[in-house]
Amino acid sequence: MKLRVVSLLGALLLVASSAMATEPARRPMRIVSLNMCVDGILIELVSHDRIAALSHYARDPQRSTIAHVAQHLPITYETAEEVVALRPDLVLTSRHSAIATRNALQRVGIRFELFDVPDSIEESLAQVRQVARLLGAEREGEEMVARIEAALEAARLPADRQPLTAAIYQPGGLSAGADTVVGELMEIVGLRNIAARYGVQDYRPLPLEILVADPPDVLLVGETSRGAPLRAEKIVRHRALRALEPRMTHAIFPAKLLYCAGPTMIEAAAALVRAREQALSAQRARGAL
Amino acid sequence: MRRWAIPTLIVLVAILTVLSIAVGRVTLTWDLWTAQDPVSRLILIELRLPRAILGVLVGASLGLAGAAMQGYLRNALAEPGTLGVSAMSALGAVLSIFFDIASLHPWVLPICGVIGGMAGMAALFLLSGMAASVLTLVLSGIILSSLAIAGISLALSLSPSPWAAGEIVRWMLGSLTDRSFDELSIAAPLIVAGSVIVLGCRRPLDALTLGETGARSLGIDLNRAQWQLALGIGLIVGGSTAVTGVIGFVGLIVPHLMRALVGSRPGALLIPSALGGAALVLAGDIAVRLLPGGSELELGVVMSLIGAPFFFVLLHSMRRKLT
Repeated sequence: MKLRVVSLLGALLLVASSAMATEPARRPMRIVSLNMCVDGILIELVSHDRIAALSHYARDPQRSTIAHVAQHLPITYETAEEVVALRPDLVLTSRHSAIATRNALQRVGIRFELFDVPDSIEESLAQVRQVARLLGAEREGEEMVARIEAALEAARLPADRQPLTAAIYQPGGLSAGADTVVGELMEIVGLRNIAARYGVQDYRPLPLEILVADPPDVLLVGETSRGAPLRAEKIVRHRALRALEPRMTHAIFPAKLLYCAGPTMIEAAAALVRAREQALSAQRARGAL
Repeated sequence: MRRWAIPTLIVLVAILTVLSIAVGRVTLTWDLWTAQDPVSRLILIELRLPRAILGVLVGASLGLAGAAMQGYLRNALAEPGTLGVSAMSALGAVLSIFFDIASLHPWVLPICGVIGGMAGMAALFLLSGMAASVLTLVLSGIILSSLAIAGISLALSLSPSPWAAGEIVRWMLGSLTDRSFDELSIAAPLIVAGSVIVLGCRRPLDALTLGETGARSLGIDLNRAQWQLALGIGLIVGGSTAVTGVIGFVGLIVPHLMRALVGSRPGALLIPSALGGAALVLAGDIAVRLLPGGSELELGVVMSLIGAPFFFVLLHSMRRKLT
């Protein structure tokens, strides 16, 4: 408890000092986002007439959770030329965006802010607050953080129930370790991420052989498009995995929920809860047989 | 040699340069200078101009280096990347992204690329020894290439997230998009110096068509010519890869194209190949921006897409001629 207070104080101090350092002179009115995950935060924090453009990923229904809204907003394809022509007063981009484009923006004198891929829920919430501060929308930012925290609390595993073991297996075999945002979410929901047992940290491919040798209760498989469990079955169609079906529940966890944290965590937590309940009822059914 | 070849190529390069400045995702109006529109002017001067100039320089020097390599090795399959310097330069740049120092300052990535290229050249000299034969030189190049590619793959496989790996891959594919005068001012001196050095080898290259003994009997110092070429090509390839990533196929196909125009004397092939290379890269870079839909493709990808089928057709017609 004491430790928690100290870290909270530290976080507050950090927020306060960085707020003083990067206090925006005025509220930006022509905002360009080049990052899919920032798109998701931006679109909920400010009125849409302040958004000059989102990233082109925003419209992709397979990768973005805001595709339906983004259809009606302008986008760029992440070239400096398009960004400059929009005359933005703030550009939000990823630390992993094209270096040449960032350099070009810097040369031209357009203000841009870099965002890292958050490694934890705490970092992600700090990022939401950071975006909100840059936009001059602190109140909306706090509301979003509260919304996310409430959703996570609601998804938490009841204390009287045992957690299940689980692993993520996305198309192409990509998995996420316990040290990622999704890993943390799984822990809260009561799906113990056992990727570490397979030697997976961060985002790494999960060797099928090791998975099959020691399968978890739940395998969170990717879904290529909305409501397409049949296709997901096809992606994870390896015979070795199919043979495990009686012991291991396949639950859908769309890849687009894996890419971003922020408000996407609300949807991700809900998907994980569905997976947990699905696995539990499958286990009960098996027990009844 | 046809007399009109070089003037035609110069005109072609000039037209493509103008087009390269005029074309892009954002449409600029003709009354740019009178309209007092700072944004359009910014796009023109800070984004399109360096891109066009870099296209000319990189294309020309790669074409030149390719012609010189093919002349020197008397092998139509040689290309500037054969010596392994471009892969080493790419490795230098990739490592700067991997260790996350590239975002510190715009100059870090190209300078790391140049350092990689220069380290590659030093290794080349060490590996093959001073009195190297053509064979040891080429083999050393192949060793360096595979080593560098192994290093790049290692960086990709160790990268902490798909996003970090994506950043490396996107840079590797080779493109001129959003390059600035900063990058130009790093690459240009190296490329120009390298080109001058390579152009100084015209006489040895011509003499080498008589074979090594023939060239020696003409009083050519073959050892000197070899290192002069290696240095020049290393500077060209190291400098251009450091800022644009890997743009393949230019150095391979352009000399073949030009041979049809100006004949196969290596010394006379150098300048037309430079012009042809510039035209090809500019045309590719324009195509990249005009292609419909989605994000810009990387120039390196387009070059290979155009280059491979084109090369196949060329080879096919050559084979018919030979048999």
